Amino acid sequence: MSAISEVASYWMEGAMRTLDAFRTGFGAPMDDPPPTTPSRIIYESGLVRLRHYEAVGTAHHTPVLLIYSLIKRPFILDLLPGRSVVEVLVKQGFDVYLIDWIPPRPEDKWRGFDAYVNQDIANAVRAIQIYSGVEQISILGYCFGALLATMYTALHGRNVKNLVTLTIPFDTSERRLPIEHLASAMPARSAQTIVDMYGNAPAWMIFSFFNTLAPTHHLLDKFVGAYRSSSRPGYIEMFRLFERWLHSDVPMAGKIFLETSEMSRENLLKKNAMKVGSTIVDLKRIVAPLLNVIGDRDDIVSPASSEPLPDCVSSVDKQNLHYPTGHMGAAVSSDALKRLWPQIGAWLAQRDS
Amino acid sequence: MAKNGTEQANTNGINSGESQFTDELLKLAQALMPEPPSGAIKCIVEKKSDRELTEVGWKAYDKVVEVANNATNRLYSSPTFGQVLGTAIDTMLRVQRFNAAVTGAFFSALWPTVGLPTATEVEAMRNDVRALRDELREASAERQADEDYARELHDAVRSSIINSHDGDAAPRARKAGVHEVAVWSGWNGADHTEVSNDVGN
Repeated sequence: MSAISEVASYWMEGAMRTLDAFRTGFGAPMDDPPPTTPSRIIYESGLVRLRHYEAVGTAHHTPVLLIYSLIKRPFILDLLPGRSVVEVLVKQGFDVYLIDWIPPRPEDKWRGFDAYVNQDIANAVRAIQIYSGVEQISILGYCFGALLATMYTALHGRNVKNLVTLTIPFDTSERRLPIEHLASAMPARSAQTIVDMYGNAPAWMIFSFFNTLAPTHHLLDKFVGAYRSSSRPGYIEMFRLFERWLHSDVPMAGKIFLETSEMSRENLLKKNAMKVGSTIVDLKRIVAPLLNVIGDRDDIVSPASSEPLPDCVSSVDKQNLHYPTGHMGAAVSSDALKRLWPQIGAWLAQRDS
Repeated sequence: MAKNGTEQANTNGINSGESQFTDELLKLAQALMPEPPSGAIKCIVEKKSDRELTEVGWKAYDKVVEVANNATNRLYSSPTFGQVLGTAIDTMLRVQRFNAAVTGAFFSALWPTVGLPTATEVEAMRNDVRALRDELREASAERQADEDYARELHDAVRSSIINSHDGDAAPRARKAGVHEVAVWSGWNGADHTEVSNDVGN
């Protein structure tokens, strides 16, 4: 097959995938690929489905709770054997729990940070405490999940042994990336109009927004890239799974969409002015050891946005860990899985007892 | 013959005009490009092997993509573009909302007369489909949940929340992997008021 016809076939496959996603809806949990690491659903309530992955060998005392972003399916953390964050942590002897967010339905539009943090995450942590018999757990949040994890730790700190934040969009006054410029340029009333029209922020809108940010990549370059790397073993399989994940957007509940929009515009979390329910999220109440992982080549959350977090908490044991990777590279690149995640695991293991 | 001669003369005239135009174009091209591209390509083809050619091709492609990406990033980083786009999206949303309202009001009486379902009926069907999907989801979740762990743990969490508020003994729990019944000693977590809305979901 010639280069052009091969690229064209990848492009056509991608176009069909996108059209199909628009036609049938985006990230339905039942469309997830089969999980790589065996898990058991131990708890389900609200919009939380809690999965447990049992540690391999002798388990560390403190279990780890993974909180992923709300806008895409979390199967990216357990993609393929050898390309799975969950697998790496489990093999390092951690009992891993993952919040598999259930996509909000139209009737869930009332759900804001209060519902997600003080109900869903609080219930999930309570379930882990009961299931594992351990009082304090380590929490690892990714991207938007890192925001939720930080808020939970500030509000319910006594349940948290260690906090790891990955690529957290924390300081939203930083406007270095196109996404940050565009997000800040959107009028405040637009978010309200979206919620008035649709109830929740639709998945197709979120998908379109992120795809518009890198049109050349999504229209052409990723397919050319697939052709250029197609001879590498397992690359195409990985590419197809990653594409499936890219099309797994889920709606964002109306209230949390509005709150996120306002938080981002006013930089509320960094200013210690973010209100969750009736309580201000005071980051100075965070005393747990904090590891803040930053992707130096992140083009979704600029490193400058993540960097200030340790300065805003009261933890004595806190550090930024810079790693030369992109926003998703931290979860799926073989380099990150070989070098970054063992470091994160070692950091958690040192603070296990 | 005379006609032919005239035609020939005209054709020559046109050719001569074309020729002048082509010469001008060539001069312009030479002025803009020190070496015509065909010459450069021929030069590369003669000197380079297939593999080197492929590399040159990919380098050129990468450069084009880089230029396109930089241009897009510059455009998106421009505050003016952001404002224009933001306003345009907002206006579009408002127009769409208004159209939906007007269309809904206008056609709501028309659809039943031509035998088409109303928006409400379609929405009711969507709700049915959604309910079926939820049932399917719950059924598959239930199948995945080993024995009745999910329900049991849910009850335990629920009791723990209530008990932590009352200060009573906590429910029984299972330790992962051991499957033994442990006694829940209880500790403070989220306030009852914070979680009570969700208990029993």
